[in-house]
Amino acid sequence: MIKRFINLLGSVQVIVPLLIVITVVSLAGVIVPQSLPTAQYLQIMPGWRSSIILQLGLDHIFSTWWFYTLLGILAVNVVACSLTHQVKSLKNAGAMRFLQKPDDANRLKCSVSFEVDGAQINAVETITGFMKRRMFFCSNQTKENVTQIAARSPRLKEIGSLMFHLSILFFYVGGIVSTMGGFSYVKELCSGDVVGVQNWPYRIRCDGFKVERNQDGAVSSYKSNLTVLSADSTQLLKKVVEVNHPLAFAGVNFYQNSYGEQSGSFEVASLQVFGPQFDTSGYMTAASLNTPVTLPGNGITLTVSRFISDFIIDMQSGEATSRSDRPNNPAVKVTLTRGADTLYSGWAFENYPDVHQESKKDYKVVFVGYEPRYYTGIKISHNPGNPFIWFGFAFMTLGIFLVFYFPHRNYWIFIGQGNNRKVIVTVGGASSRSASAFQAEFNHSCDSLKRVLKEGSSS
Amino acid sequence: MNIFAQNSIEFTFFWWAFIAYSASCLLYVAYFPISKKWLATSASIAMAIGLLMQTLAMIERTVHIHHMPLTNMFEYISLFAWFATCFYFVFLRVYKLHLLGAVISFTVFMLMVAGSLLPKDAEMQLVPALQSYWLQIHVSVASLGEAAFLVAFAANILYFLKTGMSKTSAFASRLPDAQTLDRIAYKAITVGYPLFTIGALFAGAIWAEQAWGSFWSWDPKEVGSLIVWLIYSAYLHARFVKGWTGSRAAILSTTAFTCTLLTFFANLILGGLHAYG
Repeated sequence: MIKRFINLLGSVQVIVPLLIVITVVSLAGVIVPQSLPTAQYLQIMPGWRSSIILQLGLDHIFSTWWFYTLLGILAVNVVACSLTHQVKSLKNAGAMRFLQKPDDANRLKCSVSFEVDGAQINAVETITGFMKRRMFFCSNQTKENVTQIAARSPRLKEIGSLMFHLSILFFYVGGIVSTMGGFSYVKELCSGDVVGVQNWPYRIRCDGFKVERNQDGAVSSYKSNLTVLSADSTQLLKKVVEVNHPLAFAGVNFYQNSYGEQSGSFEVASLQVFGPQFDTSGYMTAASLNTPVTLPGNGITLTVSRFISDFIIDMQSGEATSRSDRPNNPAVKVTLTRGADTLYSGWAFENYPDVHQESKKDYKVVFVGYEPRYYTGIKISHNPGNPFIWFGFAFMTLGIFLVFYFPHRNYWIFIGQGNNRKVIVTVGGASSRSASAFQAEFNHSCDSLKRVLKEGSSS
Repeated sequence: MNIFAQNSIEFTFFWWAFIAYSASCLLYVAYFPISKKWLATSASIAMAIGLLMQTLAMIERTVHIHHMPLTNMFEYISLFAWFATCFYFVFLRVYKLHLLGAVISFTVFMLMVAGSLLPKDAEMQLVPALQSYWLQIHVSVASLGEAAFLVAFAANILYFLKTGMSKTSAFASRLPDAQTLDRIAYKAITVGYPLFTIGALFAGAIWAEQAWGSFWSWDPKEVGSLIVWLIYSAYLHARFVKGWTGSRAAILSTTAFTCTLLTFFANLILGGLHAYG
């Protein structure tokens, strides 16, 4: 029973049904939305459909144990087939085969017979040398005074097939090694942040982050200045990391993954202050968080003490908080003071400039806008399986080209001594290419062979 | 509606290409029942004009946006149709089989129809993820592979017509024998399979690793491409190991091409990492 199961695992017959099953399962993974919250499945597909999806793990097919098992069976099958059928076929392909008689060569779709001057023994040497120069493996035998040279091209097709199948194993091993021994996560960093990476003897520091926009305001790039620090804070490497240009150091890669506005902070806010000492258009000023700005005349100081990106106020406690990290309702808490006197204190809203302003008698502050302070999302990855994946790419690419573009070519050349010092040559050829495609190559080879034999006999 | 109203040289070329491909398609429709050589020749000339116009449209767009037009569905579909037309001429020269050209011409026409219905806005500013030379390699090689699959699909359609019709049928007698059609489909797949493997899967995976830090993310378009690859792999495996040729191979190959088309449009319906436009 176990032996039958093992035989089945290594059977060539299993691979096509297995590929079909993996295809169907993958298709299900495309059709069924993946990794949504459970409640959403219950909402989209109420009743038994969501139960089936959740029970079978169809909501996260590509990380289920049974999907990994299917891939595992495929890998085992491919390896078993490679070690048995592929290696066997490589060995068989390497064996030199002879035909029985010249008529067998004549029966092949590509065949030709001709006569040249000279001795049989010289012709055998010339032809063998000719075929070897063309990278053919040659062997000969003589029966009834007729020498047969069997020549075959290197078995690159079989080698390619073996490489192709083994490359799948490389991908699988690479995936397992990365899953078991690697890590990958996104870290949100602000300028000046220094973070460690698990089991990595270095730390990374974010020296700044910049979003670049074109004239239309579209984001053209976003970049983080990262520095690798040793345990004693020595700078080891500095690099500007952006999408498609990661930082790689000592087996860990840092990718520019995302960015967003820092909640509760900004670079600089633009404020318009109205008051008795300013004209009707007010006074424009810029302020950073918790940095007092002195306004012209009478020693008034403006301070922005808080920033909320999505302002909401708790009606019971009266406490102002942010509903989300998104800049839906940006607001700043502004205070105007002169000495110990507070002239104005209140919230100014970017989207609602007049809200809360009517109660302040002499002064009014309009929150015109702000330059956000961004955090940078850096993906930190360690994938020890990547070298296997790269080998897989190389093996499969080479394997495919060898399989498709290096067909078998076999020649059987019979050389017999005719009358009047003539040598009778019969050439038959076969290839894994179609006869029509091989015919041109065969004709060309035979023409060259005739020419070489004629040159040999004349010298 | 004046189709040239967009006042752009590029769209003028595009619509002339559209008209030329439509004319070719109509001439081939006439060629199916009326076996007149001049019809087929005229259809080929119309295809050549279409190819020229489309080439000019693509060059004009490239000059205008300062990068190769490969970033949205309209641009990708145009490239696919362009490669398919190039293969049309290659296979026409090798096999001298106008009926194969007729099926390719019809598919190219359908692609142009789909392209004409899609938004054609040219993105001057590439999103940061697309600012890589891998964009050109990944998209163009994958598209070239898919265009070769289209030729195989055309040969399979003719195969089904040949085997499904009575041997005495006048149309069937104009087609080459079923074995030749099977061989053409196989040849086209041997061209498309390496290109698709390297362009769609490998180049895409290498680029994803550079941009997103992982070779594979099980994105709908990635899974779709994997499915296409698996079916063509099953086709080749069945052919090499089990000796599958003829109807079974044609069914498998046609299924694979249907999946290719579904994958082509997958990001429009399912979104994901490839949903750029």
